[in-house]
Amino acid sequence: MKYFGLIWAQLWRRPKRTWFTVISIAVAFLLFAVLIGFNVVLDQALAKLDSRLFVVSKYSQEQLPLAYRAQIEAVPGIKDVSHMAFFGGYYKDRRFGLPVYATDITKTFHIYRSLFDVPEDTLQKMRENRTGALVAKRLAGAYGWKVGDRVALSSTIWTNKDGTSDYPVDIVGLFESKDGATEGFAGAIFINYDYLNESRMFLRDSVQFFIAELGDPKSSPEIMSAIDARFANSSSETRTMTEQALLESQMTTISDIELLINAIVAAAFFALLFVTASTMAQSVRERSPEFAMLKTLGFSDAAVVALVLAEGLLLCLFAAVVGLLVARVVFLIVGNIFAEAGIPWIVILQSFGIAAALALISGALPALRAGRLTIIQALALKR
Amino acid sequence: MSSFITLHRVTKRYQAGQNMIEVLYEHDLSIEQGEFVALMGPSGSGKTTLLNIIGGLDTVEKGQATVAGAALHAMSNRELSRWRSQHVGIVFQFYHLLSMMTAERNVMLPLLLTGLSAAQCKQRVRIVFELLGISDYLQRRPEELSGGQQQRVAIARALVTDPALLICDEPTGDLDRENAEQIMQVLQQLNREHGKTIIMATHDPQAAKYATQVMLVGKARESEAATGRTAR
Repeated sequence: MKYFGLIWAQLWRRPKRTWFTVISIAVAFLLFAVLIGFNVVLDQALAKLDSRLFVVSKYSQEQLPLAYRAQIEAVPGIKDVSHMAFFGGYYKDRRFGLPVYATDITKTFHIYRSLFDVPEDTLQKMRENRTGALVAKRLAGAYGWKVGDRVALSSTIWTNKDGTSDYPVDIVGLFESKDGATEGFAGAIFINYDYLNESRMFLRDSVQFFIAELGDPKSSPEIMSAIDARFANSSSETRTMTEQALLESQMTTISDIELLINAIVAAAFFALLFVTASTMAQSVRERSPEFAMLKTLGFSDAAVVALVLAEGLLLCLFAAVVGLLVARVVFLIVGNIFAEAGIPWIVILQSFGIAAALALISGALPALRAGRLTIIQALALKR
Repeated sequence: MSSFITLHRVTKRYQAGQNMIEVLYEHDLSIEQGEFVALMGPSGSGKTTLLNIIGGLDTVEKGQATVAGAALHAMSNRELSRWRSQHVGIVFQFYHLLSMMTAERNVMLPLLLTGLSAAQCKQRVRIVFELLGISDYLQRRPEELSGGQQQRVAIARALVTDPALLICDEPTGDLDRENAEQIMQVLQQLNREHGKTIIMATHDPQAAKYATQVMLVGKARESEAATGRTAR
């Protein structure tokens, strides 16, 4: 620690250059934290979804008959079943869609009891109020809604029997995820399926998908086969998958993009390696007389090498911290799935690891050069 | 009894382009402890080379260099570094202070290599600043100090580890007359009152007057031998 003052002072010898270097490195870590952090949060969320099955139409976008629910419930190993219909909701401006699901509130929140803790009296109010709605706390906050408000939701999919697209709902409760997540259902609005089903003009008694809770998650392959076999050769064949698999399939395109962006981030770090190395080399060259002076005071060659490496390390770690802090601010501004979860620890640790590697690799040659300086030659540079 | 500083048949050559320049050839020199020696001679005569060898900044090619009982010619780079940190203070013509650090932090640099605590280091620095009468400069950066003031800070840095030997390479070479006189008075005081052995290379006869003896180096040796003891 006693060398910190010297290292820090050396680092800021040319403040403008140091800041430019810090910004270059920080931008790379900002990209890294946002993109890789997104990946990690997604993986963590998916890993939690292994005890539920989703039953969807074998043919994309097709509806399934509500009557399937009883048959799914009858499959051995199934503990509970709920159903859901996409609502295609928006509030006032159809350009800004809302995640609204019409469902069997009681069943759905029972299946997701490990994720959401909704009081029984709130569920009771939903059952008693046909137009009731449960709204994610974060979403309600964003729109300024509170319990008791009547909200004029509209649907881009379902025409009401009265010829409009309007489905006014009454907010009976707010909910939030136990683990602080705000993605998927944790950021949604739930309305009663019966309200939608009875009000809509067409495709009554149909659903988008069923959610089935398993007694034993390990038996999911056999149960998935059993469900799909039950509806084989019917007019609405099914495809059953784990919740994780469903989300992963929806994320395939995103994953491809992530792969591409990961490659870009890697390339950015690789390029950064040369920028940092060049900056450090220039800095060491300019300070040759200063390193020589340190050697005259008794600093050994190895100590000078260590000082230069430590300086690079401090620069890269400082820049990484700046990048991560900016990433955190970006998450807060975007207000999406990272907002409450924060940057995963693994990404923070990876960032510091990369920063250290960047410093050591880019600083190695300049540090060796500084270590090899002879006092006589280096001091002659100043004359 | 051997002298505090003894050079015996020291030879030193430097590569200059394609040529080898022989700066010292079988050079002998001896200086007793507590002396204040001015090395004089024209440019290229080998004054700075002698200082570098005595200060452990450079190695001899042939011969023996013994300073304060240490055989510098037999030491490795690492050993020379350690020896310098404990036994020598070096003052340069151009001060070589680190511009982004205060005078106090500059002077504290040699103490980083000691086992002293931060508080002890600060205490040592303050004592040296008081000794040199420059306590007002503690928190100033080099750019806020005149040349003479910077040189005093550089002397403080050389003194802070309390070395027995001070090596000064043209310490007044970058200063006006008034500041040069003040610096020389400081060096004289360190020699007289604190018993420091000082070896100084200079072109300035006025500065050389403060020394207890003048050694003429190189070509100047023959023509100015009468003014003092010469290095052979």
